[in-house]
Amino acid sequence: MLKYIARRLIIAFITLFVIATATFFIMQFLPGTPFNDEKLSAEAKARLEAKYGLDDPLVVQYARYMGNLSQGDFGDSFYYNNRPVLGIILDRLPVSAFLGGQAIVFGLIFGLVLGAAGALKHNTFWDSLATLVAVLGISIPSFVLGALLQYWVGVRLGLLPIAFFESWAHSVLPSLALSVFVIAIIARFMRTEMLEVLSQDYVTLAKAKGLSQIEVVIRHVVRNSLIPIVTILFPLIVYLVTGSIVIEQIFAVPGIGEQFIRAIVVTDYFMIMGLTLFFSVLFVLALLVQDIAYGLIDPRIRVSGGEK
Amino acid sequence: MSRVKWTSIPPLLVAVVLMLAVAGCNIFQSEDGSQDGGGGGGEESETLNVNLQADIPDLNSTTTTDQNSFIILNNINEGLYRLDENLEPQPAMAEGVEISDDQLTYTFTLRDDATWSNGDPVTSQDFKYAWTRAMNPDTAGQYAFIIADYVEGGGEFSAGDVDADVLSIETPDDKTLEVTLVQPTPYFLGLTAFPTYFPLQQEFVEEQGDQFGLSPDALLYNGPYELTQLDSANRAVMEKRDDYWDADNVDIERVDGRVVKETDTALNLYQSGELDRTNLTAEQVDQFKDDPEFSTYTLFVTWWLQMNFEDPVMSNKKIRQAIQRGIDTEALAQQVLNDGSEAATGFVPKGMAGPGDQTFREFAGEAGPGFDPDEARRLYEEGVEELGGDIGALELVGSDTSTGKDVSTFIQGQLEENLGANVEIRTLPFDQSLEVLREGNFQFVTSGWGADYNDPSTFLDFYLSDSSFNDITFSSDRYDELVRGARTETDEQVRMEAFQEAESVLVDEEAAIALLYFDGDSILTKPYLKNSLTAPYGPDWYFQYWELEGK
Repeated sequence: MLKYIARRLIIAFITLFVIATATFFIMQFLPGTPFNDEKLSAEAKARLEAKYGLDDPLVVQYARYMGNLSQGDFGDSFYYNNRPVLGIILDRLPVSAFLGGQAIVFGLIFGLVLGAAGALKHNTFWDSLATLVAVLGISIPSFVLGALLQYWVGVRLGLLPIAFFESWAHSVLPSLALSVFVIAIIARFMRTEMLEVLSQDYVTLAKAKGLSQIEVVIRHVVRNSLIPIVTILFPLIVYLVTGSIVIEQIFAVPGIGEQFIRAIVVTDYFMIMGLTLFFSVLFVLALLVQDIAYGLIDPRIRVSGGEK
Repeated sequence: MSRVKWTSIPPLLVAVVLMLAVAGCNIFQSEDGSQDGGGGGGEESETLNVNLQADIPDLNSTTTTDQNSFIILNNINEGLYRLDENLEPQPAMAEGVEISDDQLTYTFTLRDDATWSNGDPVTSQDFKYAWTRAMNPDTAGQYAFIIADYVEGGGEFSAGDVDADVLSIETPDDKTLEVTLVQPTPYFLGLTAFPTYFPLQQEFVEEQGDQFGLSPDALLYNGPYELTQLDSANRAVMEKRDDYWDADNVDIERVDGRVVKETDTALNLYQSGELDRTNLTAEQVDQFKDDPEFSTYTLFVTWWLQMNFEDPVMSNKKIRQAIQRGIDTEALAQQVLNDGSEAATGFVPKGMAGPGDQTFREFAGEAGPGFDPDEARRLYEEGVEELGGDIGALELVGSDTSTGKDVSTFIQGQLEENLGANVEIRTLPFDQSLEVLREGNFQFVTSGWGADYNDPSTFLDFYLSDSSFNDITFSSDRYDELVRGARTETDEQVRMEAFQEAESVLVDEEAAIALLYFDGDSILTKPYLKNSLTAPYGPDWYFQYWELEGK
């Protein structure tokens, strides 16, 4: 197992190196430079570019960046008054991660219950309700839901804060808006999978040996239904903790999602690089954890994975 | 590895929730980490709540370029002069100035009660240090030109050719600052109110090093307010400085600047009383047009069409004249933009200073032929004939913002309907359109320009034949002569007449540009917020003049 993880880590490292290199060169196709102000004369712009070494040959710039990176230096932001990129990311990420993490928790709790209810009460009112919620959750975009929640719960009913990020109460609406998608997906997967598991022979056997309905469901059905959920859960986690620009804007939350778009718009080179790498690391790690998690839930996967 | 029991999953979830909760305690950005924030409360009644609309990226006055940072700096620091409510420069850190007869040498005397927040007096050295730093190529930012273009020696120094000795900035004593200009500049006192001209205390700036400007503690204040909280993506809280020399005339005790980028959210916050003022989008304007809290104003920002003289079709004057007459700019401003913008009646925007008490537009009247579809079609057909009959489609370069797209589509429709032209739109992001313009690879393009100072030259310099902004290669000896002549002209009336004629050469005689609109804003303001003027250029909010009555 350790050997397997070590090998995966090496592959992950190579992947990141390729991503860094590719991003660095592709980024050069972005029009303009960090100093694209219509009021800036060509000479003044050239002076600024020289000051930051942007007039050096690309290969030199690349070598310099990778050199710094190997020492943990992600460079400084042009846009934010030469603030270190890593500091900005670490400042903003926890906010998005909190909202996303909470959305996952909401999504898991409601999604699993809803999906299980739909499967156990197959073809009843509860099943239809679960299906309805799932369809709505998938088809209503989070920004529509965010705006609706903000207006009705925040403005009209005055139950929760309209915007900003100052207490736990402020985080509920944005997390809810994000979680509906998660609820929908998880409920769908859970329902389908549980229906299938319920018809398996070992479930019939468990019933036959006299276990109560609850024991059968909890001990045999739920556990075996979780595997496909793990498959979608980890990409979902990465997707959610890296922030949603729309939700962050609607609720005026200073998260990381918005930062990425801003960096591209203002051609903030090192910020773009830093964020791309950071997101890549998260993604690669998530895939790794996911593979290990499979093994915990279903030993068969671990065995075949280890033999590769 | 042993099997993990399924029963461990709910506890795991609980653990994750707990972790989130613990993390949560540290990431919520309430003030002092104690209360909920939000509206209401007796103690908050003195607080002005405004929406800054965008982040506050850089509070280093030497390098900063964005509107928000300028606004914050403008309220926490102060230059030699500041603008009053009529945009006239008034003594601020300086108690007065003596201007030499040739209008080249300015001798400022600093006021005795001008102090920094650390108790030190503001000295002439602080100004010399800040200005030199702003022009020094090693430390300079994008706004270096706003000092370097005026102060003698600034051009060479900022180009990096010579050292700072060439600059004509003298400090005979702590309270006297003597500066010599390249040419007479009637608006120079107004320029000293611009943040790049604000003083910096050398000792403090050097002590802070890389950290300067990054947090409230890493800034020194000499203006009406000081920062007590700063999160560049989220919030800036300012409190009134009792040591400010004019503190008696500052009404609002505390300003809470929030960053809300979504106008619908800002409107919700305004309606629930968490913001005292909010900007409206065109869609929202329809809903609030008749509300007593609704108002509009225009800025010193003109939008217009630039027509490229290098292009074979656009080099035909009749085609250009047809385009000038073929667009109903009144409809553009009222129906398409619907945000307080007004049809442009000249290249120099409405409200900009003219001779005496007049504005330039009052003095110069309207420029451009106005909307005349019949004449437009006639000119267009003649132009097409002169060009040999078939000119193909015209290509309009437009901006990729939602307003930009609306404007391009409107122009396309107007020219197709009124001229019978075939128009294609090429939508480009801002950075890319700058490149296309510099390469000269376009037919005509929508452009916007905002004033840096209150004088027509901030617009008319744009089309000097050697101007680096003159991407359409407009070239007129008469125009150059008039605009350059105005630089050394000391008689205000003569100077303004030269500008008037230059504008007329550009718009009427040569038909080089087609005017579109003066940019405006629509806002809602709570009735208890009085005197909340927005300056039409530069750092546009001066909270020291705003008042809260019975909030």
